[in-house]
Amino acid sequence: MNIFYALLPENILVLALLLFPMIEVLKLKSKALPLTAFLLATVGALAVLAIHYQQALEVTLFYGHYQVSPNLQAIKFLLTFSLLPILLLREQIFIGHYKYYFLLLALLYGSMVMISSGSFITLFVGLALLSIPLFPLILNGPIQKESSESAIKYIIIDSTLTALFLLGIAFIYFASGKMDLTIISSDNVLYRFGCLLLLLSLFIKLAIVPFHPWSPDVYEGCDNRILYILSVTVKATIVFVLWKIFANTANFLNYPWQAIIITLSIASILVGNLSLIKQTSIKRFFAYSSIAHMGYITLILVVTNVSIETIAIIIFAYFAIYSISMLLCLLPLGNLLASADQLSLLEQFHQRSSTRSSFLSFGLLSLAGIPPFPGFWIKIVIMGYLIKCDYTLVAVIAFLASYIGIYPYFKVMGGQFFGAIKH
Amino acid sequence: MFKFTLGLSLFLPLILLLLPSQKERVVAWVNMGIQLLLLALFFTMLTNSELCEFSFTLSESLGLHYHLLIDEFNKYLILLTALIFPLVTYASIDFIKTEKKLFHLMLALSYLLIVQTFLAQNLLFFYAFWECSIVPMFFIIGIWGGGNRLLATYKFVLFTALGSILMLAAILFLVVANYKISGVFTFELQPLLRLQETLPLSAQRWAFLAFAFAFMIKIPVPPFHTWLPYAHVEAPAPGSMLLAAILLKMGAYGFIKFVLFLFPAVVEEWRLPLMAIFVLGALYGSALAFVQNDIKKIVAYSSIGHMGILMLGLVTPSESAISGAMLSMLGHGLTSAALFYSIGLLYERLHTRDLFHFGELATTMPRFSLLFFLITLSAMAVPPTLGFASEFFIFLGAISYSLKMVITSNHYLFIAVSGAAMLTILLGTLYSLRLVKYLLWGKKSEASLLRAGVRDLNLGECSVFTVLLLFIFVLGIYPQFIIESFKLAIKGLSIS
Amino acid sequence: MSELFLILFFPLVGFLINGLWGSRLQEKSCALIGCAFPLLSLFLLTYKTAVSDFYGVSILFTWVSFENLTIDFALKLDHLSLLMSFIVLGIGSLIHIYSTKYMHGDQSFARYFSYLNLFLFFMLLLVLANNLLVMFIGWEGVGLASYLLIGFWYKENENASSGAKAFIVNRIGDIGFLLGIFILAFHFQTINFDEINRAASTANASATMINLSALFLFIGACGKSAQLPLHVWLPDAMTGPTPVSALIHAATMVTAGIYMIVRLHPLYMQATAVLPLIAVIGTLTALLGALVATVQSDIKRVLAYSTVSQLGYMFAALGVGAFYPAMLHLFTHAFFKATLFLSAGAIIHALHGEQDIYKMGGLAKKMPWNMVAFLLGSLCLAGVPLTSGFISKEAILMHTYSHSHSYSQTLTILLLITAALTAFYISKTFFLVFLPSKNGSEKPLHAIAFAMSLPVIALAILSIVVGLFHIPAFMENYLNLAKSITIKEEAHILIPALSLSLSAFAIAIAYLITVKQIKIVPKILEQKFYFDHLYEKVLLSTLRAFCKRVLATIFEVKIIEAAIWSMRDLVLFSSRRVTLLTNGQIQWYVLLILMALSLLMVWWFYV
Repeated sequence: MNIFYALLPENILVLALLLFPMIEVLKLKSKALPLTAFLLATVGALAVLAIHYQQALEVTLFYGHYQVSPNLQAIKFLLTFSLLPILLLREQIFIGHYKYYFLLLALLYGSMVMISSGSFITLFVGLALLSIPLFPLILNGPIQKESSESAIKYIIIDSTLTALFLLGIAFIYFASGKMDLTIISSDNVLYRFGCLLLLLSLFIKLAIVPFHPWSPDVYEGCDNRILYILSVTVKATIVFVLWKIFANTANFLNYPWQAIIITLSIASILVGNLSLIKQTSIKRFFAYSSIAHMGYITLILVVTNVSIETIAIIIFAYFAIYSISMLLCLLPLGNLLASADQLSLLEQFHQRSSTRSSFLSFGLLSLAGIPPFPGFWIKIVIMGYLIKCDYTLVAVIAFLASYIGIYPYFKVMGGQFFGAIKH
Repeated sequence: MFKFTLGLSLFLPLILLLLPSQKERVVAWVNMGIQLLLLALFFTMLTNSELCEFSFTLSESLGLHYHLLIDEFNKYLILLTALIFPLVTYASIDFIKTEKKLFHLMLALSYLLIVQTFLAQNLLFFYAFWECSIVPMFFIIGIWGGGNRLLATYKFVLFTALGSILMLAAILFLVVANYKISGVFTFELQPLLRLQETLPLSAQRWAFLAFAFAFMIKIPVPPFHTWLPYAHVEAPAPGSMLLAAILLKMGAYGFIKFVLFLFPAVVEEWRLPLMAIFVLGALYGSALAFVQNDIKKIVAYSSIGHMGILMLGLVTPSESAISGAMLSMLGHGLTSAALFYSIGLLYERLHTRDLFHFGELATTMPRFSLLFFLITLSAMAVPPTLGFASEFFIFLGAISYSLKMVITSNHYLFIAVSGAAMLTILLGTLYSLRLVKYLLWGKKSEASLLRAGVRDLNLGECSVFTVLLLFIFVLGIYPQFIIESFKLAIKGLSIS
Repeated sequence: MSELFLILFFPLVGFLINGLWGSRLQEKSCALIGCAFPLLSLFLLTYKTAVSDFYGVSILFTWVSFENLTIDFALKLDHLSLLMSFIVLGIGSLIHIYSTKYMHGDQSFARYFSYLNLFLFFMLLLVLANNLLVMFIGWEGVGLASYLLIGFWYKENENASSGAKAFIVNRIGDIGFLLGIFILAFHFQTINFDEINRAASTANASATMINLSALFLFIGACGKSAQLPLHVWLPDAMTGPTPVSALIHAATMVTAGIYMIVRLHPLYMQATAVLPLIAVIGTLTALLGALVATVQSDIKRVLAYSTVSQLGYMFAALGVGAFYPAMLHLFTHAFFKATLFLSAGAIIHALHGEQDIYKMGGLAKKMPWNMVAFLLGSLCLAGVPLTSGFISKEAILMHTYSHSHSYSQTLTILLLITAALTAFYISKTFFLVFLPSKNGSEKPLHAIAFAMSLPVIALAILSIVVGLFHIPAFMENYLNLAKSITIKEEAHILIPALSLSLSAFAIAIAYLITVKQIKIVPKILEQKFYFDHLYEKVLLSTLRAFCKRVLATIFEVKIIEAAIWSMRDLVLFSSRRVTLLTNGQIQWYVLLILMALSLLMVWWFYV
């Protein structure tokens, strides 16, 4: 009973997942049914997660392969909740509705598994569950030719990273004989190599430089709902996983992993912001923006003298704010993205619809990190913690890199009013 | 009453947002009405000399106190803001022809943000509002500006943001250092002042540089000034009025409130280079104003000149110099608002800013000529205007301090710098008289676009000038009234 | 004491009324208002001083109060300022009356009178000031009024430029004045005249500070009183209406520098390093002015350079410590120079604007009263015995001769030569204008109104009267300025003898030249010793060119902006390069992943 209760959120999702094939079998044509099922499932999962958090349920299942704790339930709550706003976005899909929601729920299930994982095996299962549904989701985007290309690229990259991930896990298991998620400091070459592979494969998923080039191409072919999911849900899951594994601070004092993470993160911020300047496509714009933002959040992983809970809260807040910013950007663009993907379409947007352009402006300013929008506050929290760990120079460089981003965001925002998005 | 005033300034943009866009006149008059009401409120609060403080703690552990306070430094700047804004709004009724409601909305937002920046006592909120005030200005220049407005507005944004970002890094650094030393995590200014003693000088120098860089870009001090000519020339007249009169003062205010209080040791150490930079900048700005042919550029560069002298006053540890500098903030605000208003008036009638297209305005627009000439007197520092009084005090302090340095420590460079600073008086006269000569005197030029029947000022336009001139002359004749209230503030700066 | 402020503010009221509503009033009303207020001030002043003991200091309010310096807005009436006020108000009122007819029919009649009243206000402020700041307010104010009046007929570009030139040169001097104020404020903690004078005489005043402040204040005086090298504005100031030249550039404003030094004479007496400089500059100015005046053909310019020269005399006197003779000469010069200017104005008015003396002639018969006035003025200027000019000039010469320094003999010789030149040019002018000649125009003259002739005659009479009725002696006691020189015995006879003989010789030569119509104009004199050239070409043009070419084009555009554009280009370049990473080829992406992986492996393991 305990297991069932602890796994209740996931089980609700499984239930819903089982329901959808029935719809296919029974050839029910109603459009509302999949949507209702989806909603019920997610809301139900949310409710249960909330109750679990309230009760401070703490359980370890399956011999340590699955963990349930209040913090983790909270994280899962965030991830589930982040899936809901996609319903507000205008859909552009060609897949049947139930299949669509089926895949979404599978994705969600995968992320839940990843979050709750207690061992590398479950982590891998979750990763697969997270990644594979995205393929058909991307494939069925608005423009057939582009979506196909994006989907293929996605799956190739995904396979690569999964392979590296498995290799990493294999090395770790071989070297340490353990499958649990704790990483220890060890001089074993294979062990260290395994950790590196683990880290980097997750970084590939996050589209951290230099593993980022797939991201703009993939985003370009997406439906804007999937774009949102890719940016928020998927990446949030991965960051939390990184947190679970690598934020255990005492273990890496003799590896230069902090240097690596800092370098790659700063490079992401730089490359992300630099590439924004020359973009002409809205979706690629958001892709690079996402790259830069992931750079910011991975910086928090190097912070050593803060408690793990605090880092989790920061990541939590970051993604909450990031999702709000993305929504503020994507919601007004719904109509627009249906026709074409050019940033120049945004020119004089204000004339056509002042409310939408205001929201879009707020979203862009929040992404850019301009006070008093939420994006600013969370950024300085991260920088503050960096400075606290004596990484002042890193913080300064990060600030300068984010400064580069001000121009493209202002250009797009201003273009709505001024009428020129050429630089 | 303070809370009510703050609330009103917060609700002003919201009220304007709710008004229908078609009734443009209503929007304008509501905007102006509420701003006048705010002026009256601020005025009453300040004359009652009650303590105006508002504090709201968002998070004790994160040191986030939303702390607003009217102290001696921002008192008159708030009044200046409250005074200039209705005039700007009035100007925009005539000068802005499209998207009027949006413009008034931007003005209201600017009002709110600027007031919050001046009032903030908490470094983080100061920074937040400082950075955010860029956004309405971005729109004002970008939407309603002149031909080259895009370049101008991006230059403005990017320059200011660069300085701000580094300042943010410095703020965080200071806060974290304070936390490491004293265990308290706070962004409030008062506790952070203790860092003067505890933080090592090398760290203080870096933080000082970051702060100073941000403010020097905003003020602006050459060589970081190149955004200003573009921004001023391309901005619409109300935007220029706002920019020159108030936004530049934000930089000077930030300098005095934060830099002088947080890093006195560094300022003491680098006083001579700072003075030299400011003086050279002032000379450079005034010299360039002398050879411009666009009247807006002349006034823009003259602003650089005046602000340079103002900054000289701030870094001189003399009571009269700092009082003069703070007085100069008011004086320059009033004068430049009036000057840009005049340029706007001229542009509206003649659609040109070329210096040589005017001429003989004293005959065709006598009222305007008189008022414009009086404003120029203040810009030239002719007694008994406020411009004269403030520059007198600044130079008095600078020369006195330099002489003291010569006598006590044989430092002759100070007197060289201060002496050079006085050359700005000559340069100021040169470019002002040149401007006056080509605008007001002389025959109508061949290239003149003066048509017959150019309209002179009506009552409303005259009253804008009159209000500004009233303050300029009254305060120039009786500055003691304001100097008195600076005394306490300056004591805090602990100068000999 | 509040009456003192009334006396001060009456002209200001006149300025406001005429300035704001004058264009709607008739000419007569403007004239009435314009003249009434100065006259009111004059009467009030006379009445008060005659009736009661009106002297003293009256403070209106505190202008500013710092920790160690307090500056009040205060006026002081003592013998010296009373004398100056009488000069200002007296001559001023006469010139106001004169102007009512001179400016008759002018479009901007009201504006003229408002400016004139404004000038009176500032001049009174200067004269009645109790401290250097109030004096400076008046100082700048008269400069402003002068600018407005010189460029009064602003439709001509040249007039506006002359006005600007005056104001700019004045301002250069003003920078010095301000520096002087600051040094005094720093050293003595006060800028009050009485306190400075007292403190300067005490032992613990620093000689360097005293000398420096005296020097800078003197620079200010040079600017205002047209001494070398800041004299270039005065001749060009003649583009203004003639009454303006009479009032401002002869009688009152230009004497402000001398007044200031006399006010601070205890300070100057201690400034032993600066006094020789003052004497030398004064003498050189006197000589230069006289030399250039000899070749001028415009009657007003002759008088202008003559003023420069006479002011040089006053400074020379100040430089040797002869404060009272300087004041005396100021006093007499005000009257006779005003006479000369006003009668010149009458001539110009009568000849419908002709100002070239070579085109005048034979006016003796047509304007007899004017001739008498001009003659009286010329006699005073030339220093003919029994005139007031004679007394004051001789006093100066005697003092310079008796001065104990080595250079003072040279100065005396130069001043004597200047006296001769003065006699020469003024008599030449007189002969050219009034003696019958072929060049005289035959046109009928414009009638001179009574309002114009009256002031001229009054001033002429006054210029003589002063000399005749022992007024100088009375004045000397009255002013009670410090004396530092005792006149040598032989000077009483030597000096008058020398100067008289030289003057007589000069007048004779002038007569010959006029009759024989010789006209020699050496180039250097014609170019006014190249001072104007220096000002225009060297100073202004170089400055403008420097600012334009060096600063505006090179610095601003090429250096500073280039730096910024290059930063922008760097960013754009990096942006382009970086975007190239995403070239669309999936093979490249995977390759990139593997390459990065290997690099990081290396880093991970071997660093």
